[in-house]
Amino acid sequence: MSTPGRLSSVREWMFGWDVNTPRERPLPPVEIDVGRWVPAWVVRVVAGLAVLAAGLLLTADPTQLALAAALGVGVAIGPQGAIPMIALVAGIIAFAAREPSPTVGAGLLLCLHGMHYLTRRVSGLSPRARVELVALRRGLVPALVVQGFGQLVGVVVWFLPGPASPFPWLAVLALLAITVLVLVGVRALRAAEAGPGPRRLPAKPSRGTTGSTPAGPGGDRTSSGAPPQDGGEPPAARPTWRSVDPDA
Amino acid sequence: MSTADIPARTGERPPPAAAPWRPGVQSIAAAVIGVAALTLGVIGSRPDVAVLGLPFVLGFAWAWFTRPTTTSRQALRQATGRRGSGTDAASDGLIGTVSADLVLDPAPGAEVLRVRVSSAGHREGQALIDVGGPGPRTVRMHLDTARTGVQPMFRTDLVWSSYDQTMVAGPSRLGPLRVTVYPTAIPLRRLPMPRRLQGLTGPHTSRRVGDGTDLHDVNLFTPGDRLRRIDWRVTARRSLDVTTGRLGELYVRRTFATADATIVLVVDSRDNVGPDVDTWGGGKEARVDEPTSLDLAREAATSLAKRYIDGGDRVGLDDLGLRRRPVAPAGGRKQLDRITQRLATIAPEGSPTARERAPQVPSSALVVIFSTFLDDEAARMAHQWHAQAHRVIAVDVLPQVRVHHLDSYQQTAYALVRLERGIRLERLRRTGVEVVHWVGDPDGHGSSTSADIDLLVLSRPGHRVRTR
Repeated sequence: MSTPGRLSSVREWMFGWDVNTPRERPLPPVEIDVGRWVPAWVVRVVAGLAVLAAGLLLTADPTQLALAAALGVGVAIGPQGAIPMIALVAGIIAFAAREPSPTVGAGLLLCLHGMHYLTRRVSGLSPRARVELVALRRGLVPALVVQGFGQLVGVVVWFLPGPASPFPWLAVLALLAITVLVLVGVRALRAAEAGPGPRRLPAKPSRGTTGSTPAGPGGDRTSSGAPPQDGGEPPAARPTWRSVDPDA
Repeated sequence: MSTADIPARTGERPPPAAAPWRPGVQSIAAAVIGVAALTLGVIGSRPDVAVLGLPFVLGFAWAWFTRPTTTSRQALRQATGRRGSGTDAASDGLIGTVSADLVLDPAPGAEVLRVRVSSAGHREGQALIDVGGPGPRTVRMHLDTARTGVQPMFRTDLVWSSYDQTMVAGPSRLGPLRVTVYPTAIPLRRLPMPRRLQGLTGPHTSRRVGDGTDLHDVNLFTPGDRLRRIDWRVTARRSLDVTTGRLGELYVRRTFATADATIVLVVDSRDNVGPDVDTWGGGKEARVDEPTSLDLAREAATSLAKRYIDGGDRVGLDDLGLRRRPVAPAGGRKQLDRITQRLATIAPEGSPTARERAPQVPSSALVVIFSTFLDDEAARMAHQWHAQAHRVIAVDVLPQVRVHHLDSYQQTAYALVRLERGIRLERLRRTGVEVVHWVGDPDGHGSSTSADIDLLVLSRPGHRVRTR
């Protein structure tokens, strides 16, 4: 049986630290006050589960399921990388390689689009980042419209005559054309409603680089680009959370 | 509200624009994949495969048609409100909250904003914020810190995005803000006084005869005495000639004069050490949620200055580190603000050379020196002042030391430093310099009572000797 000293040295050799030493407390955080929020890792996990669900729809082979699970984990770990695109391509190719199925197609359409929607929102954020629920919902209506349109086209495709007939293709093209016209029309309507207001004018170039803060000495007290109030040392700023109360 | 409606502070320019919009690579890649799925479906006569590409193509089209055409604007400002602060213990300093406001004016078409905020010594915060609503939006950020003085905080990086990140703008950077955190004053009871009081007016009673309120004696009228000082009762009792009915000598009431005390606070800003001994060497930063020795010195100096000034005495401030003009002793609320402002800007700068002589202080002033006494400089200055007949109080501002995670070499080095410091403090006591420990017993050379109690003991009348 190892002595306590030998055991701790073995542990230190294996793990790189003395497990008996209490770990340091985490640093205090900078907090951003937002509305109702969820941590970004929750959204990532849901996106990963969408990939796994797509895999379950496509195959029952354990090997391919493991690959789908790996892609799901990859999407959860790196939503900003190439893995979501790889999962998208893999799902489409796997669906094209199997027999046509309406339920699989509908489910796959929902899973892949949902994965894409969620990864676009949490890409570039750390797992602990706060994702405002309102920000997640922003853009949900167009996404639902697009998804509903896709599902509708899928139903039209399945209940029309077989693939040998050109009618489904004509239907798809016609629907696409109608959609483009509607979008263009909506855009024109928005431009007409907004009018040539001040917001529509192109922004004037700001001082320094493209709008970002020139991190100069003594010039960053309030906002980027704010002029130094004095030429030298920082001004006597308004008292902050610990201020000398003149009336105390 | 337009950009011009973002409330601007006096002297500020309008908030700058963000970086220009550019297409998002991954959204374009998804659209390309969608087109490829459509093509694959056409080639393979698989309309169901083509349908899979529809959401990505249509989503990109929607995002492109609704993309923003103008740039967004943002500004970072220090918030003036304060949250409730938490405390560890009155003697360990206060942990408070500092806030800043991020003012956003999104362009039409911008939907979300990725924000990353960082400050030295803190974990960065990130968030995805909705900016698709009407009008500007203000986002509050805050952090907890026990540090005082001027510090850079809230360095902010922003990335604007449209629908599905089809168009992105950024990253743009704002800040960091230079935030001045002023030290707080802890309530103290009675404080020690100098050995001699000066001046002809003040809140204290001196031993000289003058124009005060406390009765000194009743004496014969002499040229120069004020007529309103004549004590008619004593005069009638002692000098009335009952035969003639006339008064003889006049008697007047004499009072003690008043005087004020002059106190000079001397802060040793040459070092700034935290509770963890392994941060003393400089290779590792002290935690920001724990006060350092300089924070404790600021707090102690502010507390004493406020108590003395509220009592009507005159207080000055000097610095053993950076050599610049000291704050001359004076009284009043403005003097307290002046001292607090100077304390907030005191910080270690470079390597100051050793002083030949102690800084000059007014005669008969009480000198209070705030230092960690980890080297001989502050103790040598205290000895010189004491040799010049000043009453000197040495306030030890070393925080509660933590040594449990040091290795054997560090333990040995710390033991030597601690031993030398103990000898230094004992020599101060033996030469007549009174030592007060602001946090009790930081390293085993302190006291079990609080600084308030120690100062109360030192304020006993027996310690106030004589006036001129």
